[in-house]
Amino acid sequence: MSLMDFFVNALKEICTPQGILFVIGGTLAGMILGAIPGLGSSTLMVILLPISYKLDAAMAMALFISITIGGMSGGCIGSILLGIPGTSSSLVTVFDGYEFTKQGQPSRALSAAVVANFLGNVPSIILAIVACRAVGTWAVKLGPWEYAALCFCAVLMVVGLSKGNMVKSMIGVGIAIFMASVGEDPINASGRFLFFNRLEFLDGFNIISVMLGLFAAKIILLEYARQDKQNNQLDVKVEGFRFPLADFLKNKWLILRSWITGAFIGFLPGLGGPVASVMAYSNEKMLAKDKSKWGHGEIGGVFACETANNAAIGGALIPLLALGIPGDAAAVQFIAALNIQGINVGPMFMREQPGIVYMIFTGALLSGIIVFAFQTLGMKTFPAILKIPYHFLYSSVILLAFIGAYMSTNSFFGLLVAIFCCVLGIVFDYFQIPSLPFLMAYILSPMLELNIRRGLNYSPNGIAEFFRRPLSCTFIVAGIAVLIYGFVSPVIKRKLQKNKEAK
Amino acid sequence: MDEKSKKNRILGVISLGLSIWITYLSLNLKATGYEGDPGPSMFPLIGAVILAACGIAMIVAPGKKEGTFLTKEQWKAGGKMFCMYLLLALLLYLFGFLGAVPVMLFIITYMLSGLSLSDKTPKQRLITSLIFGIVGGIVLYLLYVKVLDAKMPEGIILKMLSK
Repeated sequence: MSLMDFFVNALKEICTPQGILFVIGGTLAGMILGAIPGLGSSTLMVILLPISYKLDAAMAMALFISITIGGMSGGCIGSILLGIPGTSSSLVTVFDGYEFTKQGQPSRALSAAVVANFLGNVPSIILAIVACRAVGTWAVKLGPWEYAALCFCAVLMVVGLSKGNMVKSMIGVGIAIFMASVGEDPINASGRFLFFNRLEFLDGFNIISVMLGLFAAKIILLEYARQDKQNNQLDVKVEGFRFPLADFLKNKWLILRSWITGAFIGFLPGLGGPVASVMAYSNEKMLAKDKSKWGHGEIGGVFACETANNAAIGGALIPLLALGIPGDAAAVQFIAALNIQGINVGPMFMREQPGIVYMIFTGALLSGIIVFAFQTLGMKTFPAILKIPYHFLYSSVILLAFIGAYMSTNSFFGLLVAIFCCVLGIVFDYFQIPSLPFLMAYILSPMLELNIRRGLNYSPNGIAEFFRRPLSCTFIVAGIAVLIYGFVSPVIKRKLQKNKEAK
Repeated sequence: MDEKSKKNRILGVISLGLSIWITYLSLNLKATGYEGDPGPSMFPLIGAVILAACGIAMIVAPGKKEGTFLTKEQWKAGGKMFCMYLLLALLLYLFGFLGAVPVMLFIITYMLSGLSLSDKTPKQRLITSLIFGIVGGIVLYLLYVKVLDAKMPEGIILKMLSK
């Protein structure tokens, strides 16, 4: 089948009442939750995970990618109108976007953000389509040694490139490895760590329950504890969309550079939209002739952040679909949703499940267009989105999360795991342990263990085989290099800063 | 010792303790007997080594002080919400989906409405939450049980009564 045939088939499936409902509904729901500070579209995806097993796998993926695109595009609304980012990816949009609202020009910033969203995500999906085919052809040649090394590299990259204390990220990885070890041994299927001799542990900690606890339950608990969801007295009048032609032409090269930054950062495991937007903003501010305007209402700042974080979506799809390596938390949810359907994501995914892969691409492209259409036509309704009453939304999310946790295992064990992971999430936040390295290590651990042990079983050279194979050795060295860079770079930066101050 | 360094040292001690516990559990696992296979204990032991190394690092170099995570009042509020989670799990176990969902939807909505409907009187909030609890409960029942045909907890008390 040719590329076109796959797209035509995917379009046929989406052009059913159910498909249209999923793509449009998913995009709008993602956008609304993405706009509301605190929750984010990932919460919606997590609570939909348990019911996704009732859906066709391809349709479920179309729904999830629509939510992702909608969520990323909606994040800017809260940033610009409230000065509070809807998602962490739109954090930097606040710096300049909110300044326009304070100056009485929210529509200018919103129009720029809407255009940037579209220019960020749609071309990045096209890049993903081209790159996935190339990487997927190469990926099928990977043996257990290379694949284990790739998983190892991905986990170390998340730790090495993530913000915050790296030792704490590694503690998260250690805990994830232990938690992922609970259950059946991947080689001989014997029980491992069956606490209190309970057979419920044989299936391990279900990823859905883990995410429901770690995201939905913990987020709402902390939001309630901090009591920062007071009645929103937003009183901003937003005019309709006006294509920001002059702003666009002035910033066309900035948009291109930010797009490249976003797509590249998205490709790297564990970074995603938040880092992409910060990197693009910093780069552009550094390159700007007049830096004094930045942070005080520079439209280039809005373009840079929103183009980069949306471009990261396409970038993250490449390792996910071609290699089975999640780039960010949303990609972890994709893997979990596919696992529910009994589909394992790995180097063979592109070859074995082309229907699902192209459904994701088609859904993403359509969602990008839908979100652009809605944001241009419905810009006046943006303030209303931010007035959605939290008490209805949050209480529903809690109930859906707990029902979902029960459904994930069809027993109270799933529910108890969710409560345990909620506590674990709070402990992580208390000690400032980032959740993403934990989550990445947790989802990759089964594949990592299986491939390490297969690699050791298949070769008489034992562990040395991992270093004798060029690709496997490269991945291991790259992972370790990134980790060392992560440890060393802050020390070097501090020393340079001290030297600068001394001079 | 400032707050942050104390907190990080505690984290270091916990990591070290966890590492020792995982090592003990892992060493009690039986080998697979396959030639070349390091056995089921290898992978968790890797986790234990990581935790031990990071635990020691945290104890030796705990870092600087940073802002407070939650105030005493915030901990209390968080604890209240956590109790709601436990109550929800308990009610689901005892009374099943039908008994627990509308009640908990009402209670949690009322709790949260104190934040987002602070301009309304308690009576108005109570009525709104009650209506939402009942309507929401019915909608969720129809969605999960009728549309999705999902198996929901029946509740041991309701099960006993139906017998």
